[in-house]
Amino acid sequence: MSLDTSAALQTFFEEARELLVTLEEGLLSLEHGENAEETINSIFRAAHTIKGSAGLFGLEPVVRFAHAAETLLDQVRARQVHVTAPVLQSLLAAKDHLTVLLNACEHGEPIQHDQALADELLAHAGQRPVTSTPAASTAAPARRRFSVHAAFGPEVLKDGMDPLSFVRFLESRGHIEQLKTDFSSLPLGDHFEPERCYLTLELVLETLLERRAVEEVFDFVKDTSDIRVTELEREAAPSEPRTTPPPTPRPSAPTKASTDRADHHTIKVRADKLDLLVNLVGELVIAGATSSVLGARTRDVSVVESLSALNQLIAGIRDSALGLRMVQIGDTFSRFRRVARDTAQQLGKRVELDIVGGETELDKAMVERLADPLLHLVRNALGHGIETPAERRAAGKDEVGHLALEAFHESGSIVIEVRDDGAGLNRARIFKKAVAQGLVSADEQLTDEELAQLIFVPGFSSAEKVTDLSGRGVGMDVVRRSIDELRGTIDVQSTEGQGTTIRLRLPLTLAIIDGFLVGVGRASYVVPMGLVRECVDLAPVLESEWSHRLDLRGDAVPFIRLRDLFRLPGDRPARESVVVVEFGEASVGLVVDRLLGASQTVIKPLGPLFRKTKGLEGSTILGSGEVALILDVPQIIKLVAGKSRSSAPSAAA
Amino acid sequence: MATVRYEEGGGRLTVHLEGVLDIYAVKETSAALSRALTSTQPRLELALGKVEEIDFAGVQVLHWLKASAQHNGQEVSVRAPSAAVRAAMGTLRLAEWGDEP
Repeated sequence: MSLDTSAALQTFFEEARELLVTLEEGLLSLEHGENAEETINSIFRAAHTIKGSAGLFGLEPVVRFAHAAETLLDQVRARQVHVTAPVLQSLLAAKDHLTVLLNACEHGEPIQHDQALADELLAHAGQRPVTSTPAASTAAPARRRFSVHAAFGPEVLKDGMDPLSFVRFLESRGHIEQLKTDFSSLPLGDHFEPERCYLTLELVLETLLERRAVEEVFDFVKDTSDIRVTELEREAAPSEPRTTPPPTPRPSAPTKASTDRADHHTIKVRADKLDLLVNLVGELVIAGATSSVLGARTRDVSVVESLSALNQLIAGIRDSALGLRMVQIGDTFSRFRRVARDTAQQLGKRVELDIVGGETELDKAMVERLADPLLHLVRNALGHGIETPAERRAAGKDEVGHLALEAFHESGSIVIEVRDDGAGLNRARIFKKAVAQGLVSADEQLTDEELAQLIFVPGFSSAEKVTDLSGRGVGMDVVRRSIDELRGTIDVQSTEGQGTTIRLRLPLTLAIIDGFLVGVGRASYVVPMGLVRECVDLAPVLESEWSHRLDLRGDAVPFIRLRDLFRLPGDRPARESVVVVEFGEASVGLVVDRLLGASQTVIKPLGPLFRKTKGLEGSTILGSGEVALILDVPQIIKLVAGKSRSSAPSAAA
Repeated sequence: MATVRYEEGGGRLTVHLEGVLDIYAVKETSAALSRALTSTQPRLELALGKVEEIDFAGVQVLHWLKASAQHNGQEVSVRAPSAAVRAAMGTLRLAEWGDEP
């Protein structure tokens, strides 16, 4: 079936993955001794739904394997089988294998059916495993033939049913020998009502299903349609009598039930539709700003007022449009429970994962791109950070290590912390390694921060023992690169013997920002508003050209003239202003000619000409129609900080 | 959403159908397609290469269009149906919707 491109199939894969996450979370909480009925039910439902939906798409290997898992879970649900460690281990392995199967199906790769695991699951369920020789397994159960007559009711399509799905589902459960599509009741010309169903299907199905099971496939339309299933002659059972009853499949037919539940609360929207909306809203913001500028020129109070109301609405639309893309980070965090469990087990460590701030929202695109770097960080914390129980005991700590994932909002950014209470960075070892790799010279004095940044250099790893988890020197540089791409930063704080905190700071969204507009010469620049701390006049007396620092209520704040940074022509005005920006813990003053006030800004990518210019992250169109450049504050801060400490090593560059 | 575009000439009306032809789109699409049935051209060609998605409601509309045109005495041909169309028609064993020259 050439359905690979169909969106429905794609949705299935996405949903199946979400269900697998649910399944895994459930299994892990069972492992923690929670034995709530609801948990077991949700695990069972997840497996059941995956099986049913996979059947709809004819993904036979997934159906077959999910069936084994479902059979065991059914026994667990019925309290016939206790959740022992081996049972859990098999179920977790089953989840992994299902993931592999789904990936293989999605990418059209060859499928490796793990019969041993399927047998293991069935064995736990007290069922004799299906003999794995293909000849025997096909010979065992009797195949039956049914004639199916399905005259679909006129409202079936409007009810959200698709006769195509029924056919596909039956195809996945057997072989359709004949199929006749009868459109004889369909009126021609003007009398045709497109949303009405005029179809009658006649088909002959060869299958292992019982008659009742075939009828159940049509459960959702049986009240509105005329469905008749008749068994044709039964084929003679093969010579050997069956010792085990054939697995009684409970086909979850073209399920409305499962989607029904979700539909009341959520609507799935294709990401590209959402992107289009966000783009349009961006244009709307610009157009709104233009109208405001023009309106102000009319000096007509009523026009200005009405435009102001309009712009407030636009701001509201902008926020909700961006809000549509926001998702909670908790789901991503929860995925690491399994990683933490498996990794710890593999390393013989004991770890508890704490999740804080899972409800913190950020852009979906961002969440997706964060998953990998976070995975590296979590693995790294478990591999390098947290010690073995023996080591922890010796250090006077609790044997169980703690790893925390925390997310929160802070001044227009989202901050994600990966915190462990392990051994902390080993300064001496990192330094030795850095010297050996020629990154620093042996007599150099590094601050903690500079030292910590070394672990992000490509190829750098200080682990003495190379494990398959970490210590191969890949990972941390990848983390750094991913975070850079998201316009974020990484900070490392570490206390030897007490643990390490890695702090990622990221922008909330990638599309629209509130900006503060400044002018230098004839050019305009936008500073992201969330990063502006205050604006002051540049008092000439306080300034020392040489040190490039200004006195801000006793604090020495380094500053830079945008005129110098971008090598703009023209003379400085007599009075200059300073916009003090801060990012993370660092502050820098940006010296400009004019302060022009707040403005909403849609980030447009920079043209190739500017891409190599440091300190710019995008461009935007102002209300007046002029183009302004958006400053990349974190980068400027890095530049200025680097310059003001000329002795600093350039290892991070 | 599906879009319908017409191209006329040489005794033939070509209907270009693009996008998603599902239950949400069939009402509008069939209204747009009914123009084809008032055409005086002896031949009707359905260009289905850009149908991205189709469900049974969409299949039904295509069947209606074809059958109605044939009933009016038009000669109907199908050009390069997309994978989505072929898959749906294949499932329903509607072989006459295969790739015809």
